[in-house]
Amino acid sequence: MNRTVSDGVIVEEAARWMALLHSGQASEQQAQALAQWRSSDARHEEIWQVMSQGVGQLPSATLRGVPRQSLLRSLQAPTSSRRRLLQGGLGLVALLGGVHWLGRRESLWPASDELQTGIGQRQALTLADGSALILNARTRVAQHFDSQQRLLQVHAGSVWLDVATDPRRAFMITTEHGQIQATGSRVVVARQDDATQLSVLHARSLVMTASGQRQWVEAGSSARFDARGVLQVQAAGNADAWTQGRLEARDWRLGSIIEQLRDYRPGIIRVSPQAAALRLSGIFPLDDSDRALQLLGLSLPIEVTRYSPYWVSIEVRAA
Amino acid sequence: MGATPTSHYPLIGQLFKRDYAWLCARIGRVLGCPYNAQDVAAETFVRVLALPDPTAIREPRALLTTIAQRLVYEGWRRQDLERAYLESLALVPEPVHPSPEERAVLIETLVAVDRLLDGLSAKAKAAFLYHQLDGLTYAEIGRQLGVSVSRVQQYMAQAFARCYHVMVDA
Repeated sequence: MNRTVSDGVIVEEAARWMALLHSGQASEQQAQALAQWRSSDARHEEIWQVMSQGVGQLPSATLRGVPRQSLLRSLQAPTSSRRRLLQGGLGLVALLGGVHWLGRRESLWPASDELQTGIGQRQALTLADGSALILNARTRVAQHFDSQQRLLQVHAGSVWLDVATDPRRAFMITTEHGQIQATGSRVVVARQDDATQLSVLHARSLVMTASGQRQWVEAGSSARFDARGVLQVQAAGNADAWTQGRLEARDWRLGSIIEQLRDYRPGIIRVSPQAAALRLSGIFPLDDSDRALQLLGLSLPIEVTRYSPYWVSIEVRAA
Repeated sequence: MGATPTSHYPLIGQLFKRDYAWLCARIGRVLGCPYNAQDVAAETFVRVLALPDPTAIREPRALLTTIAQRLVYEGWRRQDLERAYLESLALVPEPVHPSPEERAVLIETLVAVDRLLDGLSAKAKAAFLYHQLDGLTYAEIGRQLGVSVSRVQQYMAQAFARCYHVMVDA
């Protein structure tokens, strides 16, 4: 199809007309003017039709099923650095002797008081009161500080927190299961699906479940609670190993280990129930989930199958 | 895409015999993987075969390189989109776990939308999708994006122009 300079002008006109029409604000006169514009020149009408067909290319039905934020974020996917190399042509890339994809991740910090990390991200920061906070991967928190209180809501994931002392304001950490008064202590709080796990690393903290049960947890101990009450108190172990990028398992179910690896690996890891029930101890690198999966495969009688980088399946190895 | 006249086959056969190995080697240097390179090279020839008049090709190797380059780019962009989509899934409040089949359909859809809206700003893409998918008014879109109604109308015009160009450049 031959396109001339004047086609470009007509396309712009048509686009402006279409944007006006879709605004729902076009007046009767404007609608008439549009009809006139379309009929005044065969090329106008032709371009209008092609443009309408183009709009019809949008696969709306499928897209409506995708969460809007997920869709918009995906379309903003950074183009990997390979493309820029490629723009120099295949010849240039060949000269460079291969391309390395440089992993890049968009930082996803909204402007509000809510903070969030994505898969494989950890974020360390200092709060306004001087407390130190580290967010684990796939964690979402909100802070509410005023003259009366310091409140950190953990909506998802886990945090490490070294609370600064403030004689006038208590420091409260909340999840949907209850509150933790953590004034002056160092803690790890993990918001799990069905319960919250508090591990106290230094000093002590008070748990108040949503049902009103209160329990002090001392340094070196860990308490698991849900909205109804405290479920279990045990030794804290190395609850903060993830702040160093390590996953330290002590007689854990494989299912629990994979649960933690999922926060560090995009895509799907499927574990068969038989494999999930196997237990082991060990230290695994969180930031290199490929290596972690490889180590798991060496330590247990399991078969780790990669259908793609985003689809890993773990089954008990056939005898 | 019309059927390829059978008279073209001998010509394509010559081209294939002469240039297939050359193209594989060239792409292989970029991809670092001989198997992917063979796939891309094969698909490149399929596209050449689908051209309206393959007999008019004057610089076969330049054409092959151009098509292969586009295929490699499309493949990488697909991976970028897939990665971003999977990451975004982790961030929505209600975790979604689509089946592999659903995911494949979604990735194809994303590739299509990405191509349709390529070159538009993030806000123009968002404005267009909010309007077309959710039926939001320009005023509602303006509030969502923190811009004026007239700015939304400009974004929509940019998106409509893009819809035309996609059809013509295809």
